[in-house]
Amino acid sequence: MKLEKLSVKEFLSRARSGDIDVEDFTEHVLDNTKSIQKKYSPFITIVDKIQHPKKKGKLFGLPISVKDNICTKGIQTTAGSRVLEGYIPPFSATSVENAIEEGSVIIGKTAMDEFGFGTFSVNCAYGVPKNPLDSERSCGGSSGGASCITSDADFPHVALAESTGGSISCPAAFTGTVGLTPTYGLVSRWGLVDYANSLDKIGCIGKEVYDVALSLSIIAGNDPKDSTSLNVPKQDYTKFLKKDIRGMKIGVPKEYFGYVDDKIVKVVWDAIKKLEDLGATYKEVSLPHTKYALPSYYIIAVSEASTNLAKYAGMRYGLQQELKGNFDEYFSSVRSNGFGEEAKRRIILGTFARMAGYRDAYYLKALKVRTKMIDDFKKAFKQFDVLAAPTMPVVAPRFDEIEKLSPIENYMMDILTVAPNLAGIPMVSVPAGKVNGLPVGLHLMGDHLQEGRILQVASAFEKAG
Amino acid sequence: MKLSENETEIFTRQLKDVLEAFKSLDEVNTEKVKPSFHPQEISDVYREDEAEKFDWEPLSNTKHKEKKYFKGPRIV
Repeated sequence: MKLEKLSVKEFLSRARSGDIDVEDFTEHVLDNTKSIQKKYSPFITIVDKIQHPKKKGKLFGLPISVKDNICTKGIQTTAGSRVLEGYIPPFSATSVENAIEEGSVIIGKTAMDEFGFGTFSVNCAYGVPKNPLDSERSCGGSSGGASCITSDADFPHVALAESTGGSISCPAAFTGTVGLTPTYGLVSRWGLVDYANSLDKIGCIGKEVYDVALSLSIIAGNDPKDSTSLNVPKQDYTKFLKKDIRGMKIGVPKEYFGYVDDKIVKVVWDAIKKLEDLGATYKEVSLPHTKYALPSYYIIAVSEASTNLAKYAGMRYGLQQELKGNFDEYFSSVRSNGFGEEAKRRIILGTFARMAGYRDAYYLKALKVRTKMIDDFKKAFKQFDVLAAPTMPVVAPRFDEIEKLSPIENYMMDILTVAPNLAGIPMVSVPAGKVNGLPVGLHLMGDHLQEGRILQVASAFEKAG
Repeated sequence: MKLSENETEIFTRQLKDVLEAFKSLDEVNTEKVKPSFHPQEISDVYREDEAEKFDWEPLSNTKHKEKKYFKGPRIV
């Protein structure tokens, strides 16, 4: 069967017309998935049996993978943590339901840093996914498995992923794939295993801009089950991909180039010049609070995470032990055994930042700095349609390099992605070129609900090759 | 959570570094600035207080159960 090399767009057209036998095709895909798993471990769970679509929707027969912190009915969902081992959700997340309703088929649940706590997918309880472009390197985090399978699969496929502080953009940049993080609240978080409620966003990773634009059109939409879900009408984001970018105003935030490898800076500037060739104009802009994004993000994220993780008690679902000792001893024992090192670090840090006496100095201060950062972006978007910057300060690092990083050095790697995530604005990382044979991401950021604009620029850039 | 002596020693050192780095926030003047608990203004959403049926089996994920109830560790 020579169907694997088809793009998502071609596949869907042929599957819907009946030219492709979807059942046959997806069984074949499952075999390919298992052989990729042997090489690079992108999955925590691969389904035993494909649930074939019942009707011909917009994603009819399209294989999708789902990050393991997004609940899937009847398929184990662990969020990459031992504390949720064996948990079989009795429901699917709204985003997953939307995708299934349109005919997509789930092939498996992708590997991730425990609860999303990491930049390189090395804080994984069930195995570390490897970068298919160089297996001694990380494929980014925390949606590492999602980017890994997207990068290596030669069959049409889209990954549902999730970002709190850069967990879609980073892995997309490291694997040469396209990662779309929507506006906070555009996609329902119902059925997502929370990391930080005011930051978590479900998005997608694909091989092409079309793939993520189409997927967003399906998974976005108001959901009464999520009180933070935005009340905006659904729309078809692929319609933006046909437009050119003549007259588009692009801002280049100068603070986003200071911490970045020189060779990456060059690739990204070349990309911006290419956008100029396509008819856009660009100008440098200052986002003065950028350097405070990292501490502000980490304080808010760990504060919210530490309250969220308090629900894991080893009673109703997930890891369970013999009921021994009193409740305090039992819960402590389950948590000590179930949480990995980074989760423990973040629980301690978050609990401290919210503690009486420190709350104003850390947690509230961070939330106020977040306001200043949102204002920076709002001011910039009065002048510009889109902001363009490097996605990550480095190319995919080797595992032996990652091992040597201290926690604070590790957190520093998120320096370019945390500010737009704190502001909840949409962003897309597209492959911009290579440094030493490894992919570099161009990060395009837009104002709230301006997914159409960033996808329009991303698509024009992709087509220009 | 219980921590081993080794974990306590390592975490203390690492978290000191992290908190030190976080201090840079003090440089930002946030007088009269409101905290952003969410990226955009979020208002409370209400629905009618009506019971709804759901078809999950709440006890399907636990081995600690008796009849229709969860079984937990001793409280007193």
